[in-house]
Amino acid sequence: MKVNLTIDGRQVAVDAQATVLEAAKTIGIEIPTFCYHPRLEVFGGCRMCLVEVEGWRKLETACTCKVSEGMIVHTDTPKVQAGRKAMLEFLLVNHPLDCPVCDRSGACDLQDLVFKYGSAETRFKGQKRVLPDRVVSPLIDRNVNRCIQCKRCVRACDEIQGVAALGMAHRGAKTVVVPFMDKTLDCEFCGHCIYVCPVGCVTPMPARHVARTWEMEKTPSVCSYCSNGCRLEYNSRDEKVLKVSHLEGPGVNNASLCSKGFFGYDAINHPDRITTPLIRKNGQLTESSWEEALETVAEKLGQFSGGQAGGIASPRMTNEDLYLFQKFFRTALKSNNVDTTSGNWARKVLPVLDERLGVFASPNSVGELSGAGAILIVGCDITVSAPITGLKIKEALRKGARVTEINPARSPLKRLGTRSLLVSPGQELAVVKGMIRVILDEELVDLSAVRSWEGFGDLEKTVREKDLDDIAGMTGVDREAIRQAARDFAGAPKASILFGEIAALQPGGEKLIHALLDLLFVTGKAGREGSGIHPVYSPANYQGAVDMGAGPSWLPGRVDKKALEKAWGTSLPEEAGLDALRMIQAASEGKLKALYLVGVDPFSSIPGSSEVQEALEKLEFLVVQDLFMTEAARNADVVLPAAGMAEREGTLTSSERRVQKISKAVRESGESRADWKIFTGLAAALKASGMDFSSPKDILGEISRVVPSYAGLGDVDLGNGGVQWPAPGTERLCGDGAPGGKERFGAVAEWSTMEKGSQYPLSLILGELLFHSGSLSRYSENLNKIVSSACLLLNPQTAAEFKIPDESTVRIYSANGSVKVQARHSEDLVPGVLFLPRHFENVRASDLMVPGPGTESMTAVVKVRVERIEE
Amino acid sequence: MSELKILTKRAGLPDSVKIDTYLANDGYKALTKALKEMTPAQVRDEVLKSKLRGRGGAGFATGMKWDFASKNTTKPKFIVCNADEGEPGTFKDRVILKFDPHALLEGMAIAAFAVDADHGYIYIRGEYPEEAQILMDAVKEAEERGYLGKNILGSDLSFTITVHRGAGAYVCGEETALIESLEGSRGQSRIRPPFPVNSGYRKLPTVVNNVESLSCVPHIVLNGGAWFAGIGNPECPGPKLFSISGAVEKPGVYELPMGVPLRELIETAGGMKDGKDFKAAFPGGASSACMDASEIDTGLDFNSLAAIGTMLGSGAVMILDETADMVKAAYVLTRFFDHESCGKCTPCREGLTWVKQVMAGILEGKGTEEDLDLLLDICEQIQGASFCGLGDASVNCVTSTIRKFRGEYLNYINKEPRVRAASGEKS
Repeated sequence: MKVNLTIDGRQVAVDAQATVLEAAKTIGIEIPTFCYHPRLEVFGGCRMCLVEVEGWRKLETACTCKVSEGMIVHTDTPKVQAGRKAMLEFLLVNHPLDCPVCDRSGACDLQDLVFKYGSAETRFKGQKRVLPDRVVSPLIDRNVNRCIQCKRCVRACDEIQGVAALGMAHRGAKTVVVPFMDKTLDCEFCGHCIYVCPVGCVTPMPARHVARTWEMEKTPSVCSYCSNGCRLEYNSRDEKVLKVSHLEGPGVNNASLCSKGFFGYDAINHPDRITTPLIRKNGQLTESSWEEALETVAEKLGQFSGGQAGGIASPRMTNEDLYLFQKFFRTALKSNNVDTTSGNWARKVLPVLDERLGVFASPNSVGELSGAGAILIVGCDITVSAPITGLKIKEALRKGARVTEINPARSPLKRLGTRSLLVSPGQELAVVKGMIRVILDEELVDLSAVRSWEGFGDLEKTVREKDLDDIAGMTGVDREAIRQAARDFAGAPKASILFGEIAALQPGGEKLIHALLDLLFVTGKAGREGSGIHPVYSPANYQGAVDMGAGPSWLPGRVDKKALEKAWGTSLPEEAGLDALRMIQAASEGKLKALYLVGVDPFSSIPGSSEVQEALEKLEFLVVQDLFMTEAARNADVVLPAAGMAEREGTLTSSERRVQKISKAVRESGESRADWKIFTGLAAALKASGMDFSSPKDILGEISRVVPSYAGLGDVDLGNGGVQWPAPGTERLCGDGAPGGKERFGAVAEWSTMEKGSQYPLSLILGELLFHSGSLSRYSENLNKIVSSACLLLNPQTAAEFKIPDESTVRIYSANGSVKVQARHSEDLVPGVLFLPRHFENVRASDLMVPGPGTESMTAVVKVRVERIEE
Repeated sequence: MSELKILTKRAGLPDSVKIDTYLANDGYKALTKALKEMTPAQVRDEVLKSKLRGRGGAGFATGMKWDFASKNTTKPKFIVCNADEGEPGTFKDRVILKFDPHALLEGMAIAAFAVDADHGYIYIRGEYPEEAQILMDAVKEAEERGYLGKNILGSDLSFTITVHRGAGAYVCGEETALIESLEGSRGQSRIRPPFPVNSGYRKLPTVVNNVESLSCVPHIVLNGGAWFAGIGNPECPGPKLFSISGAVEKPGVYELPMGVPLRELIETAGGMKDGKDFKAAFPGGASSACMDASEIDTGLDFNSLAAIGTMLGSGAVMILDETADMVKAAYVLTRFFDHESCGKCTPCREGLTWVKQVMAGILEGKGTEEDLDLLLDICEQIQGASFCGLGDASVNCVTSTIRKFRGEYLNYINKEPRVRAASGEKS
């Protein structure tokens, strides 16, 4: 129902629930505010938005005033002007005139509004209140005397992030925003408080007093840390990134960021950046020129063409980098041995989605989740793996959505009221089948559409093999909880499923995904807004790596060989390629002679450290292209310095298929070069054809002609939120229900996806922290101020069983090797499961990860045992 | 007019807080009558007929509030008694809390019946620990005897009361800030609308009534709304507990009809202390504009005081005599509001800091006549833009004393600290 009112003589019609402030905005009238923010609930405290309503004695705040039929509003009368002037004069009673020393000067709402509506002089001649200054955090600075008590920071921390780390203490003019219990700030460092502060009160500490706002160059770009693909703005001066600021507008994040995006920019500024190419001469890595380095690499790699050379790349590379990487190998070296460290996940997950949904990517969009009435999260801490997706879920929770998590640990979402079904990895399948059983038994949905599907009978049969009591016995999950989870999911008109690494990268992970798809189809929740399935995987450009064919078994766009040969005008190698794990195995057996690692340290990401060591030693030629001297780089024959984030251009494809432009904010550090440029340089040195590109835009042009889903993307602006492929922008890849010809159920017979081991009775999750990403972030001084080393987390019950006191030193043993770390107790983990972050130098993931058939590389869950060590 | 003994009838009795004393003196008869002989609509009707207006100070018609609450069918519903009694100069609710607690409990139970409420809270100011204990004991007694709890007196009404202590914030006497505090949050006012009757405690329908208002309810039920409406000023009738303090012989709480002239209240309280001349009065506590000697015959009720530009509020009458320093009085009251401002809105939080400093400057002899215009300007902006009633009312002491006792301000400004005579004549 629309309401008609008049603002400044102009007619406007809006929804009955709109406020005068919102109504004015629709016709381009900006009313000044401080405490109002479109993403926060109305506060009404600053009194800046005073307007005159005809017939009302006093001025009214536009942000709290709901519209009414026939209302006549004036936003610029002498009374309003006097009111605004007065509010600003009031704010300057206690707000110190710190502009000359305030980081916000030039970008400050109070400054701007005083210039616009205030008076040049104040009549206040008294004493300003002075609150004691205190450092509350090494990353977030609070200049308490500048606070104007708008409470935006407190509200944002509570209403957007759901953390509520800030509160207001004391009263009146002595009101001060303090961290919880007035201690050091203990929060998620997402930076929302900095984003919403209208003045120079809350500011980023690392950027304190480094430059004035107008001295810094602002470059809009996209974060390179995770696959959410958040838009942000690099602030730089003299070719150095000094800070990141929030960028509103289209895209997935609407200005929101996480600690990595907001504070992690300084990883590229670390002093240990490799600055020049290095060639091993007389056993020592010595500085050399690019010319010499490229020639050396080209010459050496050229000797090992035809399957004897292989390359493993990082999923942080751009689409252009990855496209050229695989093209270089396939055309110049005649080898299909190309892979990324995210390839394993892709090979496990995407074929299942392809088989059941006909899609080779996430079929839905992240933003839809905020409108879902029920969300099921399996094997994933979404707040860590994809923080912005986590924010959408928090939004949904606030609107009353029912969220169930089937996880080995309670996630921070528990604060907002989720149902946690805690299970060991491997037991999720039983719970999901139990949910399907409840839905069938209680007829929670109309099954008439799916009864005729192939496999429905098998599905019915298999889920009825066990009853809820059995499942409760197997998994330790309360049967009522399973029942309620099923009812919640089936009962919501919009329901979505998310599954993460822990679910996917188990030995039997595909079965779990099939079961989740069965749940989706049986309840009819596929392919509609707010309903669908989301594979969650955090490496920034894992989807781009798939699309660009940076894997042994897929060509770019998964086109067939003949089509690609035609497009490239060359023949392609026949022999099937090796994936990353098999390349290492082949190298350790002497069969692979040359290896090209781009942004990859196999000790961090390939199982079997001894095998990796052997491989590196046996290789005849190892070239490492990276930002920092990794362990692999120290073993290399040639080291090539690569450009990092903010130093490169190109596109990244986010988890929701959003292809976005990233822009160069600063020059490449030292003599480092963009990856794509190094590849073209090598191709030129090898006199290979088809690799002559002068810019990322050039490369994208070819990509858009070769990769069907990227058609048209070479001609459009990919800033401003980019395009969700296929063009012109596709929110959802598949429509209602199952795609034609795929009306069938998986009807998975198994009830568990992991074997129980007796020698290695515990499950270790080699996982991620919110504050770090892969191994890149360990070079960020900022992020290291939050956490900089790994410790093992285990449930007190498990700790008691294995006699491990809190904060003791332990050794973790897997079938491959062992690692020494400190252990801490955590009530949030299910007994029998351990958690160890894999980002830091003190833990070499390959020491623990176990190679071999059945357990693929980069497994997120490893079977281990743990022993206390006396120190 | 002579003092009444309706609300204060039982206060002087020995063991007046005990339920047996209460029962022996018409106690819980009204509740019984309401539950057994009346419908909720009939009870509400009597309260409407009584023309009872909120005794906490806002003066909203209680019957109308209950009607709104009864129309909202969302459950659960709550009755919240505002026993914060924070206004400087008011101490009348304390008489009921301390000496006749069951009257309040009975009133709340009847209110619950009238609007179909499920639970009651008494939000009592932190500075009344004794009274809080008395209330808790009384609730226990009432529950034991079946006047609170499940199916009271065999009826469908299940209702009991939780006593919740405040922590010393004046702003928590404002109903939405009170509700925030009751919920465990910071005591800051909420945006209205929605009003508590539709969205109050836990965003559910909540009736917030003052102690004295609720203690009137049993009498209204027993004797009828018309009887109540026949007491005192017919436009805003009823018995009223007046707190009178300051320069009178016998400060205290006196029960008189609504509309009693100020002069008479002073006489009832023993007349001016030591025979001094009357200079000024704040009839509704610190929040009210002052009255001068020319207004001493004004009736003390909502309408009559509003007509002369001040307010009854809770009836917290503070008397100042010829020796009183009006500038200092205004300063002391301003300091109170500055201290109690919750800090949510700019004009109250910053404006009162400013007003306080200007007033202090005047008292130190550093003021100028421009400062008086400045004060009036600041006060106008505070009153025009504040988020809640605290800010609105906080400036009355300054504006009214400047208006009526400008001479005393000028004395300070011209550095003549002599106090002028009661009539406020210029020097």
